[in-house]
Amino acid sequence: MLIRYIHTTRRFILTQQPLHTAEILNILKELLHPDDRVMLANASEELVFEKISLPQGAIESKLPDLNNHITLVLKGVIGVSHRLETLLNWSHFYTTGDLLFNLEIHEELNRMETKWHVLEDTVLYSIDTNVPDEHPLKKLMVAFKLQRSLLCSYQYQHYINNHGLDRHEYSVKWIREHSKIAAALPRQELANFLGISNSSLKTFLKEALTDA
Amino acid sequence: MPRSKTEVIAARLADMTGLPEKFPDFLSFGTLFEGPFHFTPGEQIWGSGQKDGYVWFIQAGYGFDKVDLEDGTTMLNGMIEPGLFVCDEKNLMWGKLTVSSAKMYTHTTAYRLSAKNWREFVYSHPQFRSILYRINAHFLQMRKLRLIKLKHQDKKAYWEETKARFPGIELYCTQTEIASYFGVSKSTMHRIMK
Repeated sequence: MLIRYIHTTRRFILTQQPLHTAEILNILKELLHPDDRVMLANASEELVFEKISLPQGAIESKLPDLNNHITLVLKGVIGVSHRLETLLNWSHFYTTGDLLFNLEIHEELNRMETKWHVLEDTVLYSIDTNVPDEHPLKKLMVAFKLQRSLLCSYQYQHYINNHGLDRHEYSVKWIREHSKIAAALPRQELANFLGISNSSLKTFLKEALTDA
Repeated sequence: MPRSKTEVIAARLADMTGLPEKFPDFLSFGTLFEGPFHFTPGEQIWGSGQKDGYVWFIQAGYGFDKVDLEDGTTMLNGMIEPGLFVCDEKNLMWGKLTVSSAKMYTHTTAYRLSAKNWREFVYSHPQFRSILYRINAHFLQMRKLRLIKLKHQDKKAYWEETKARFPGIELYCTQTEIASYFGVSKSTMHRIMK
């Protein structure tokens, strides 16, 4: 694949459509309101993707390169942590196929020291939605930008809703589906993330691993 | 002197953003709302499973909104107060059937704007759009805090705080719905509420 260097060692504009285009386009389509999806169908060939690589171990507390971008994880894992008083807590983990937006770590608003922790080498594909008014994709980019803004806060509603589910059932299912992440986290942090006690975690881990 | 629907909505937006009440986009936005609609205590503003979605502006009245969870249960999501713009977000974002409901427990006056008209307005008003992005960015920060408080704040203290802010909450929401709001089991919630 041909790529063009932009301005950092980690960020490139792709001069060919990325791999797995159908999957990527499907994720973008699902992000849009159904009334706006026709715009994507007509313009998918003209989208310009940037590729961003984040090495395992990197911690990002701001990533202005992604301002106004629609970004998705092509591969890798990024964990999101917040601080409340002295407590450090994970709220969610982005994995392959997830959309992620840097508004949660926006430097002007980030009072909870929210950080992105790159837990595995990660590759992101990103589209800059800031285009001039006369740009042929302007309407599509406005639609993306609006959904981006709404989804940023709606995704947190989703994490909140998850905590309304039965803790036992939810925790066992999550551990089974994210066994690699679960194994990588210290036990106390995993228990905090799931909102359960250490002793419950011990039981749930055993259950998840036994059935697996 | 009584204010018109448009003035009331524009004034609230001015209050939220620090911009003048006469800001043209606020007035145009306010004009689009239908109403007033009046609700009596116990009445729903909207229910779950509805196709038509609206952005509601609450001028007067108090209530609660609840969301449907994946496991078929319902969770108390938040409190509705005067000055709030409320909607079913899934419906607003993707035109899907509503997955939430809003029930008022006092006499209520509200105005509504269809999700379709809301979207058309936002698309055609770039300045309003920028303001909306700023509001959403702050809203995101509030939800981050709510999520971490849900997990880690002392539940007894959180319950006392919630009860003081919304007296009578236990009369309008089931113990299961309240338990979900606090991220605890029904039996734990029962102990906390004692």
